[in-house]
Amino acid sequence: MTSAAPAMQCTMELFGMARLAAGRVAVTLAVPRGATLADALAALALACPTLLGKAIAENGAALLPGHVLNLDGRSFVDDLSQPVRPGERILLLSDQAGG
Amino acid sequence: MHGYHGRALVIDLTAGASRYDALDDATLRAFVGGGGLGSYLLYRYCPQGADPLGPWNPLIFVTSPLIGTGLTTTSKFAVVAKSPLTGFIGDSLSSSYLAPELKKLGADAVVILGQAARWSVLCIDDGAVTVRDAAHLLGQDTFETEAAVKRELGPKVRVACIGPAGERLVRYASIATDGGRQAGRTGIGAVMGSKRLKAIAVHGTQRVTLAAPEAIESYAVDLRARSLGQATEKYRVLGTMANVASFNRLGALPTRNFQQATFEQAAAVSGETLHRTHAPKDAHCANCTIGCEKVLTTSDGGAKTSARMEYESLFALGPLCGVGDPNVVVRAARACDALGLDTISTGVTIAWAMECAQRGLLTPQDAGGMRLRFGDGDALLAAIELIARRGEGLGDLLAEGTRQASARVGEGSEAWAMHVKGLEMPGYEPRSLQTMALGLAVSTRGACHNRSSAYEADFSAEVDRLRADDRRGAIAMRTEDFSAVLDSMIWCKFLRKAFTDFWGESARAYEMVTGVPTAPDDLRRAGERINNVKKLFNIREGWTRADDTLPARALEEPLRDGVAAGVRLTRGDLDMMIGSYYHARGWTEEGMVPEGKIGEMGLEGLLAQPSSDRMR
Ligand code: SF4
Repeated sequence: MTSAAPAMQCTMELFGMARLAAGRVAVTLAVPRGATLADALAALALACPTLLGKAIAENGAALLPGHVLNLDGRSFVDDLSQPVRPGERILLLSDQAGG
Repeated sequence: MHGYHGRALVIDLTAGASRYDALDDATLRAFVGGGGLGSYLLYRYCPQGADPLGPWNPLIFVTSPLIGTGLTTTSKFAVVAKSPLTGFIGDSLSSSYLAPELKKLGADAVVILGQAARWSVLCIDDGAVTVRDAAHLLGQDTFETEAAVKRELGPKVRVACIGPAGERLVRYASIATDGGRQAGRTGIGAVMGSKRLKAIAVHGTQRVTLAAPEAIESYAVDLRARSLGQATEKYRVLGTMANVASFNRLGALPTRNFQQATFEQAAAVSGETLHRTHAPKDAHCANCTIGCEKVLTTSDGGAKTSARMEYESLFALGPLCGVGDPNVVVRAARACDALGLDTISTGVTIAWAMECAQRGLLTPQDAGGMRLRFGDGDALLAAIELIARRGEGLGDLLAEGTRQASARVGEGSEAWAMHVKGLEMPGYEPRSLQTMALGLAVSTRGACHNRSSAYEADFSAEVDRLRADDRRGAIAMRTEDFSAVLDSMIWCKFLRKAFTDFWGESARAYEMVTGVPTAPDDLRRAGERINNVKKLFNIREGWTRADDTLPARALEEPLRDGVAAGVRLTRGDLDMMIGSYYHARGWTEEGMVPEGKIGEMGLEGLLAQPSSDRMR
């Protein structure tokens, strides 16, 4: 990924603790084409620094325990090297352990 | 063996007698405690074919090896009986100060048989059993009953009681302890009512020894610290109410009696919103550092009331009934706790009736003038009262639960009676959570999210939650065996993400308590054994493969809304997954437990037990 890569948009939807920490329901991010989910997470941390130490690790590159990502409300992902697709909606959720 | 008393206190209310029955070390190790030991005791003390609401269905309170150790979240007990909703194994766990008091009675379990001659309070003071008249308590709600018993017997007693619903044998009545905490599922409050027990008051002084108290103390400190980490933060701050918004987004929030998988007013009843609008107060079960309980107080102009709120109550009394006003949900949950009703079965049964009304099968005339409409909070609250008091007509009908009510009403209403084996469905849409669909279908206690945590796979990258495949059998078995051990040690489910190695830590904890060398595989096998004994009980009570299924709606209608719109779960899909589950369990194609498996699990002795153990 280079800084000259054209930008595309994706949207992070926040649920649970992430929504509380950020004080926002969703954040639209501009990321370079070819960006990975880890890159999107880092962009989210820049846009909402209050998520650091709450849902995103202090280095901005990983999720903290108790959080998961889901793409477009359909598939859960655990591989953050996966590329982001233009217009993708990425859900940042608190992990489900029943109720 | 340390950690146990090695006996059960058996009380025969009909004869007015009690005795201790020995529980040998091998049995205790094999079934651990809580739900596992309770399943064994049910098999042993329940006569085959016993009427769930007849005198010889045992009502069994079971403690666990971890109670009294100071390990966080372990003040829990199990109540087990043959369920009046399902006719199969019924069990319910609850957390409260009753748990350590029960354990100090000098027995690992209290088995209650027979029926009192009149409405009574059963008092157990160490081993001494007495019965007091309870006529003056009849009609009182659970809060009033507990307070009255404590006033009469002193503040040291701990109380389990039923409300008006249990008195009237509502098939999904609960047992309440500690100011409204419920052992809710499978109708065990009706079993208590059938014994004419309005309350049970216990006080004990007998403590068990622990094999390695200092090691336990240092482990307890470590575990307490981990219980306050990131993995449990959602539970500490939002509680399980956090599920509403995410389930809605994932198309997994049952709405209007499972006609929809999303709710247009989900935001109003989401945990994130309620955190802002209702500033919930934190509450903890006894000896718990996490404190996932959130107490909500109404915020409108009506009479102020408060209720403990968690996801299952919220979904069942909110979206499932089309209700988006959180204040109505708080009032409904409070009414269920006071009247002694399981919130899930109550909400699901009323939602079924609302759909009957929507389709013209229940007119206001049938419903005593009541207009049952989705979203009508007044109708919801009125129906709850009517059910608990078995009000003539509608109340009496709905008090039977969805299976029996739909059989009476007929006209195809069985298709939207959302239960499995007679137990109403929890808040997990099976069509968009297809591993959970299997877990719900095969669970021995009916539609249950607690005895199977198969949804964990659906909320991960392990599976495609919107499709079925034949790997799900092994996953459902794994999650059931895990839950069986969790429910037998007993650890709270919400602690599970705080373990770095659940099986290793549980084995070490068991060894520190009992002094018995224990490997993780010993506990894995105990989990498998416990699920086999539950299944053997059901088979004995008439289970067939046809009982492992889902409501017709889940198998015949595609989802209509949300991200999973158009997704189906066919009978063929479910059959294929059930086959893979029986295969993983080593059962026959018809789901029976073969001789070889019974031997492998060491269960031959249980099946050959003398019937005299059952007292009748
Ligand atoms: S985490 Fe919640 S349910 Fe579990 S013991 Fe604590 S307060 Fe009770």
